[in-house]
Amino acid sequence: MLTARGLGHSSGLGHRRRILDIIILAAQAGALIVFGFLIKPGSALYPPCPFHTLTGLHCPGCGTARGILRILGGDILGGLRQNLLLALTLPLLALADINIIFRVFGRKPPLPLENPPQPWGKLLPLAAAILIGAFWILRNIPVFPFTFLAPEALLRP
Amino acid sequence: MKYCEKCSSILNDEDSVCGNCGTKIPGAQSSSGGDAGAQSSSNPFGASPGSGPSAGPNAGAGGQATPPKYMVPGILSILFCCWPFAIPCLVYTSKIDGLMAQGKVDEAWEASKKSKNWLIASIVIGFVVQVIAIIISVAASAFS
Repeated sequence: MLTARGLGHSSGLGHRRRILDIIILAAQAGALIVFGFLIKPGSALYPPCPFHTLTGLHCPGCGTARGILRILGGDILGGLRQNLLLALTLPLLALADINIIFRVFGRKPPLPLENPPQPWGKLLPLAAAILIGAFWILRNIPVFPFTFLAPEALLRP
Repeated sequence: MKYCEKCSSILNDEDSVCGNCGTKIPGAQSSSGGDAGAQSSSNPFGASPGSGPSAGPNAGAGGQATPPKYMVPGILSILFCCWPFAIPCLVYTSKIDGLMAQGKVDEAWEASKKSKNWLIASIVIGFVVQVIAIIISVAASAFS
């Protein structure tokens, strides 16, 4: 009885979780195919950054799509330059996907991304929030060293 | 006060399944007193100590499960959804370990729930705003 309850609990949780995991992977693949290959930048269908459109300022995510397109085209440094946080977020995305793929196949996620040893469980999320906030402010300062943090103009020929 | 591991809704002490999503509550039978659920009263072994805390995969030192954290999806949703609502998600997630260390399990679960809500808000609002932006962009190009 105890074993049955334990199994029932974990498999019920795992079922919902697995559907979500598959949706996450499919959404990533779909976004890559649609925005990487089907629709080109400059098309009206290409999603503009709402924050940039409204304010003219760069949000912390501005340049992500441009950067990924450059990297897919083989220009890794030119891609990272569009949004320096890509150097952090692309590896993080890859590691998170490794965990997700393990979970989809019913294995225990191998990487302790959400439960790092103390005191990183507290420090890492705060550091990420501060880094993103600082990046947001600094990349909007229109003076030389900071202009390097801003992405290049949207519609480059 | 306890919270459902799956949907984070508030549980009554006497519940053996979550009233919101139906998930069985690990350790529901371990609450002291005679108000355990019908399921465990039909099974005297269900009340044995130690059966509850081992149910959670990430049970902490005190036998209390650490609530889920949302650092990675928080960071990724800020950068890939272009929308900063996930910054509170990161701040609430950062509080969880400290609260658990102080034994404030309820507050840790509350922080986890808020973190999750900010994450969902970030993703949903980001998605909706992007769709609206594309519609406006297409309409603008069609009428220009």
